[in-house]
Parts: sequence; structure tokens; C-alpha cells
Amino acid sequence: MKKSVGQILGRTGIRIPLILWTVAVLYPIFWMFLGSFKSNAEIYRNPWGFPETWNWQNYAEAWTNFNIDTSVFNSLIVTVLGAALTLVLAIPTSYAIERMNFRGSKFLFTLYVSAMMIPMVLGWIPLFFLLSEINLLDNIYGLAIVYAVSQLPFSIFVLTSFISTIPKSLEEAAAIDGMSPYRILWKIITPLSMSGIITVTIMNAIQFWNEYFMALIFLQSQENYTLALAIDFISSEAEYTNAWAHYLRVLLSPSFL
Amino acid sequence: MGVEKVILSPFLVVTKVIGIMVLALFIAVALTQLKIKEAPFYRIVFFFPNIMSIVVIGILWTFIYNPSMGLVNSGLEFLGLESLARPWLGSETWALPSLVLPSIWAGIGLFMLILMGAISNISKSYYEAAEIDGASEWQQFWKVTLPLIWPQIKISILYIVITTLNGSFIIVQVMTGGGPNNSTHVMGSYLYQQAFVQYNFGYGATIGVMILILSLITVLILQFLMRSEKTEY
Repeated sequence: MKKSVGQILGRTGIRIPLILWTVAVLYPIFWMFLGSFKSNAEIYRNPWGFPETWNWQNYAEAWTNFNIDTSVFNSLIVTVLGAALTLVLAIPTSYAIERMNFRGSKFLFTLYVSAMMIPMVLGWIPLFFLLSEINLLDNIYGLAIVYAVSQLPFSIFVLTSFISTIPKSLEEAAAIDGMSPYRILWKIITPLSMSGIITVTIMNAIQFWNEYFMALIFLQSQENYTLALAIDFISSEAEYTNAWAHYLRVLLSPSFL
Repeated sequence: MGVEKVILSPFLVVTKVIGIMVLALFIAVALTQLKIKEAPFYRIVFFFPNIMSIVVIGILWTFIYNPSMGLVNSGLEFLGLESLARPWLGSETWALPSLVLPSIWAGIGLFMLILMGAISNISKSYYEAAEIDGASEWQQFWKVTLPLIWPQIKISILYIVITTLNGSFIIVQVMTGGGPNNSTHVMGSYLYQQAFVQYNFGYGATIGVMILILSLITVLILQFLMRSEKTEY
């Protein structure tokens, strides 16, 4: 059967918006990439075209000039510590909620899930005072604890559903062989729900790495800034010093990490 | 006096819901139904903004809107429309509409994937039956695709509304800081400004409670408006 002219036209027509959107998505990113190689004067003179010279060594300069190394290190600590802490708290909790049928375990699960619905915005002010009370304000370890707790409901929600798919007979067999509940959790439940644990950890880590607002509120001194904060700080700095080119270079680094 | 600023959130919500749903639905249908060869490529590209940090997106778009070297203004100049060029984020009337585009840009990928998943779950036999009955592709979309993916559309709209009410302050804070002249504050950024810049903690907490109440009411209203019997064929 031959395709009519109209159908062929329709097929091409449908591609035009798709291609336009592709350009709209890719071009800004590409533009940022090109801009990062230009000098300030060149960005103003020629914002569109390719750079005249490709200055690689300026990346290293931007890295040291704006203390990016410290904030990358801070972000790494917060992310790793936060993700680890979430797992340490979430795995036993979800195992207990799912398998130990103690009084109120259903209620506890509902409580955790409904905690996911509460916007984080509400926690800012109480957390601010709580942290300042226990001297963890302006402290990346304090921030890591807040992060871990904020992602706990989500992690428990996902992990419970993973743990519920593990057959009960495995645990029963282990219990008959004389394993304590803690060893069952460590030797049987954890390895078998590994795919769930990895999923949760990746999602949490991305969340912690990109988080901006709580870091903005709870961290005050510049040497404690996480990456997201440092970028934003440099951006307001660049408005006054016109260090756009430097700044674009800095901007590139975290977006692809 | 802060109330009229807080009302701005609904503008962002409505424009974002319409923009994201129309574009995501179009892209999802185009990529799944129309047998385009390079569809996997588009899928990867369109999801790309979703993996970028919202801070980076905000700053990238601040560059795009930059009055002297940004893409938008130099693009308008290139097309000979210099009269339309303006300081986008610096003008009180245009700052808020300018924030919508980055939000849509950043948000489409996820909802595209959700809708694509829903569409590919529809059994092909419905379309064959519709074709035998003589339905055009357009009619197939309205009568088969749309009713069957309605649950996912509903979830997506709810999700956009909730995340916009609770999360759109990040892009506001990064791109405009609530300015110029407080014209772009949404509730979250207003709370931040009141509590942590001006140290009116009590007032900030009040805004926080308002946010909770408003999002609960919105979700309930939406649930009520979009209730519809599950379509089954």
C-alpha cells in the first residue's frame, strides 16, 4: 500500500516540534560549554560563536580561585554520610515494620508514609532552632543528619516494599538454625534486598548532592558551603566582578557529576 | 500585606501544568505511536534536564535571560526584533512569566516517561479495532489513548501542582531572589526571606502553615474535579 503524500507530510511535520525542542534542550547546555572557554571580553563581543582560543588551563584556575575544591569535598562528605546514615536507620526500621508484627507497626508505617506528604518547607524554622540549640548549625555533619532524616520516610517506603518480596521461609529456616534476628537482618535480608538498597541510595545521593535550600539555611560560613551553595554564591559574585567566563567554567563541573 | 505576593504561586502552577502536560503528552504520543526511527535519541535528550541540579538550571537560565549577552535578547536582535528585547528578569511584569519557561524545560522529561509508559501499556488491539471502525488517528487519540492514560495524567497533574507549591521557590530564589521589588516571590521564597533574611521567624512559621493548608486544599479540590470512572474497554 502506498503512503499518501499527506501522510508523508504529516510524518515530517511531527518531527519539526520534536527537533525544535531538542535544540531548545541541547543548545543552552552547549552554549554554556562554549562560553566556558571564552574570555570575558569575548563573551560580550561574540556571545554566539565558537571561542577563538580554547583555554583549558582556566578550568584549573577557576577550581582554585573560587574554593571549589573545599565545597566539592563538603558536598562529598554530606552526600556519603547522609546516604550511609539513611541506610543504617532505614534498613532495620523497614525490616521491623514489615516482618515483626508488633503493636502499632501498621500505624508506624502509615505515620512514616504520611510524613512524605508534609512539605519540607515546614521543617526549616523548627530545624533551624533545634540545630542552633545543639550546636550543629553551620556544620556539615549537622546538615548530613538533617538530610538523612528528611529522606528517611521515602527510603523506608521503598525498602519495605522490597523486603516484603523476600520469602518468609528463608528467615524461618535461618531462625531454626539458630540465627538471632539481628544476624538474619544482616546475613539474609540485607543481601537479598540489595537492588532496593542500591536504588534508594542512588536516589538519596542525587538528592543530597543537589540539595540547595536547607544548605542555604543551615550553613553560614563560606568554608562550609556545599557545591550548590558555592555555585550560587559565585553567581552573585560574578554579577559585580563580571567574571562570567570563570564562572561558566565552574558551572560546568557539577552539572555532569 | 504579603498576601498579594503569595497569590503568585497559582500563576506558576497553572502555566506549568498546562505547559508541561501539553508538551509532555505531545512528545509521548509522538514518540510511541508514530513509529519515528530516532525516538530513543529524543527520549534521552528530553530527559537530560531532569538529571541536572535545579540550581544549575536556574543559573543557566539566568544567563539565557541576561539582558546584554543572553540568548533570548541576542536571538531577538538577530531576528531584527530589537524592540521586543528587554531585561527579562529585571522587569516587574516579565520576571514571573520568564520563570515559567525554565520550569517547563526542566520538568518535561519525567512526565514524558510516565506518559510513555502508560501509552505503551495500552493493548494494540484497541487501535486495530478503532482503525477497522474507520477512526482517524486524531479520533484514536481522543477516544482511545486519552481515556486510557487518564489515571497517569491525573497523577502527573497532582504531582506537578504539589511540587510547584512546595518546591518552586528554589528556582525563584536562584534566578531572581524574589525580586525585582518582591514581584516574583512564591510562598517558599517568601518564607525564606521573612524568616532567614529579615528574622521574622513567627511570620515565617505562619507562612509555612499557610503552605500546608493551601496544598492540602488544592489537592482535595483537584481530586474532586478530576474524579472520573476508570475507563475500561
